Amino acid sequence: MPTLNITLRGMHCERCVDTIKASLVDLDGVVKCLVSLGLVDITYDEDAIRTGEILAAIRAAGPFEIDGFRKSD
Amino acid sequence: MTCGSCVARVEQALRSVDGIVDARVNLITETATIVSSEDSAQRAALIQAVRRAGYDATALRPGDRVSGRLDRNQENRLREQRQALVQALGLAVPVVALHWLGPTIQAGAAGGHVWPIAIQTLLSLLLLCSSAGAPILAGGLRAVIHRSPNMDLLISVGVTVAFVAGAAGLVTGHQDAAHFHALAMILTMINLGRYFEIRARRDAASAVAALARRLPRTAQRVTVDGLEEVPVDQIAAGDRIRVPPDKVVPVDGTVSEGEAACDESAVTGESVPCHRRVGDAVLAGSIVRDGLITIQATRVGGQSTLGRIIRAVEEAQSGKTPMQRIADRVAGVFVPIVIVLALGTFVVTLAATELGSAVAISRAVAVLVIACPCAMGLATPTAVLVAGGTAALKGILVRDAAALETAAKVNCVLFDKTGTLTTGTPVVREVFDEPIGPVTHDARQVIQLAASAEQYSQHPFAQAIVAKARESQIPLSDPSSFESRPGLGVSAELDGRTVRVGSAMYLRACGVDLAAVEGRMQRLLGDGQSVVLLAVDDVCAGLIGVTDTIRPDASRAVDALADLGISMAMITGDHTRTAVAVAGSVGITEVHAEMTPEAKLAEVRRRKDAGQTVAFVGDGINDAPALAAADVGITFSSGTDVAAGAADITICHDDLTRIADAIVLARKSLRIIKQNLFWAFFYNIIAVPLAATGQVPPYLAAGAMMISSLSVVLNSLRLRDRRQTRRENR
Repeated sequence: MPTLNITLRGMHCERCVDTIKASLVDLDGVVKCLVSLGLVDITYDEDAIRTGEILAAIRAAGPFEIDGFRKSD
Repeated sequence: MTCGSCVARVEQALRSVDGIVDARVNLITETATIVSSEDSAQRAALIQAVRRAGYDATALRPGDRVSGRLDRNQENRLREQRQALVQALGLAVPVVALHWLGPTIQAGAAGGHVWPIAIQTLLSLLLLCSSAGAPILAGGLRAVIHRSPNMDLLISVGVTVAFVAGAAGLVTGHQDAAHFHALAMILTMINLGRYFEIRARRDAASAVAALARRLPRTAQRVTVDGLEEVPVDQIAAGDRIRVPPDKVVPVDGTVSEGEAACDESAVTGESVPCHRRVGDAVLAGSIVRDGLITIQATRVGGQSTLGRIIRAVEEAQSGKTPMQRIADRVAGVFVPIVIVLALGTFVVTLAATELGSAVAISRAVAVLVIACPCAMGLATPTAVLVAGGTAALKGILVRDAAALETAAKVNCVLFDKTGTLTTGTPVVREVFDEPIGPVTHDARQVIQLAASAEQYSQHPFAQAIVAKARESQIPLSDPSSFESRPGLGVSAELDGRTVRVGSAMYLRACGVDLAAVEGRMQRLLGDGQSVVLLAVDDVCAGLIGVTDTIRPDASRAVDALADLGISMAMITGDHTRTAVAVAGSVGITEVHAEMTPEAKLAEVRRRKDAGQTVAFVGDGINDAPALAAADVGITFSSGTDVAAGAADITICHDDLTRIADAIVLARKSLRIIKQNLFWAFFYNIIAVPLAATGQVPPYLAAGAMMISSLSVVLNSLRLRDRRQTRRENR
């Protein structure tokens, strides 16, 4: 199962961490999710959810912008 | 309130309440806007203060402006005035009849000379006490008590003198019914004139009423039991409202069910109906077409976009211009001067002629009655009111009367580029592919690669490219990695290949050789386009030219302003080439590019110092200093944040040609204000001597005075749009 390492812009504080965590944890196909200021490491099931949907969920959670991501298997 | 000095008194009274920072009173709509430094509502104290000043007040409820309660108040006043007029006529006709028939009756009656006079005395007394006379007398009394002389005082003195002189005939035996005749006619004329004046004022304020009338009175609220019909001013935020096709949305809200095309032209001027789905916002005043939606109310009554537009328009109509302040001051000393002149007329007529006391009194009364201070006080406010209303119906919000006056003098307009002359949203214009050895990507592939790499970037160019892909129905691939360098570009891994999209600087820094595409790049740049480059595995694979779209109405707007004799220039922070290209296609010949905000400010100041009256058109965020420094700051505003700005003129409709419309209206307003003031002043200069020398009998004097003040209001109505009047009379 692949892991997505994402760097974000726009996170100010712990509340942002919680917000993003909350928006990701319940998504179908997300297996593991580690969020810290500016970084999200998420392990997911490729058949259940696509990269784009994860990134869209993060963007929808608040004024966060994707600085970069790397997918590793 | 009848005139400027009444307004001043009420404003003074309101400001004297603790914690009040500012109070502005609008004579025509009879409303006051209060700015308070305290959180708690001081309604009771404010109403008290107004009552103590001799007037009455009620607090407006939040939905009132929009619900038309103010309209209904005006209708009530009109009805009351009509009743007063009827009473005046009813009592005046016998008085006048007796006056004309008097000699015949006296000749015929045997020794009963007194009774015609007695009846006239009685009728005149009734007149004075009726609703035809009492309000005027009360006003005069208030003027004396509060030492603020006004028109009511003049009339009161006039009719009182006439009454006393006539009644004295009962006692002294000198019977001259002319005084009662004068009194009756004066009161009738005044009431007739007031009736027409209230009607004219209602027409003057009608634009705001027209805005408010766009909303329905009732709406369908969704409850657990089904639908209930509720008055619109009882809708609360959070309520679910069902809006069927061809009905007007009553409050601002978000769509919770259904979808429809909404015609927002009444509120934002957007001529093409916008498709609204679940989650989208809809505005009060828009009309639902082709569909049925249920919305959850977000902003109701005065808080909705339409409500805030109405409030902004009304606030604008209650400011004072320097010219008006002078007129008010003149009006202030005017009344005492007239009283002195009337006294002088009486004395001189008595002393210098043999015409007798009756004539002397008659002339003095004529002087009191013919003088019209109100016209001066009404000259500017009425014009500002009508102009403000006409402007609002066109989607032009003028901040206050002073802004209107300054706008009329504008002879130079400076335009910001991005977001003002252009839409601010870049669009892909040209796509070039670059053959890389044996591998050729065509234009579609260039877009596919670029868009796939850029899809997670927020940069406007990235979004333009993604939009192009969507528009051309090109499916995007998922990158396995992505890195964005703000301001420079992005790099992504797509299907094992490294794809880079960005500026020439970025690609060069990544080691991409751009020699082969130099020529094409320069050509695009010369065309005013911004160049986005695509590299696959660090070899340049394509170029994408992106430009900002020029607003379709921009060149028409520039032409319209040029026709007005206004010089124009563009000032922008963007690159020279792009700026020049845009200016050329729009018709502006003077361009200042690559300007910092400080430089823009300096340019505005430089022109002002050179003696020009400068208008600056820009968006509020980036151009705040320049907007504030300009004589007239003009911004465009999208539906929801309308009326929030501090710009002198805010244009709600997405239409640059309204700038010219605003200036034309402002110039016309200034002309009409000058006409009003001129007429108001010179009428008195001519009329008072005529009355003093006996050329004008008292009853005609009253008529002349009412015509004078009425003509100021009617002249101001000329500022209305012809289409507007037709629409309202429907």
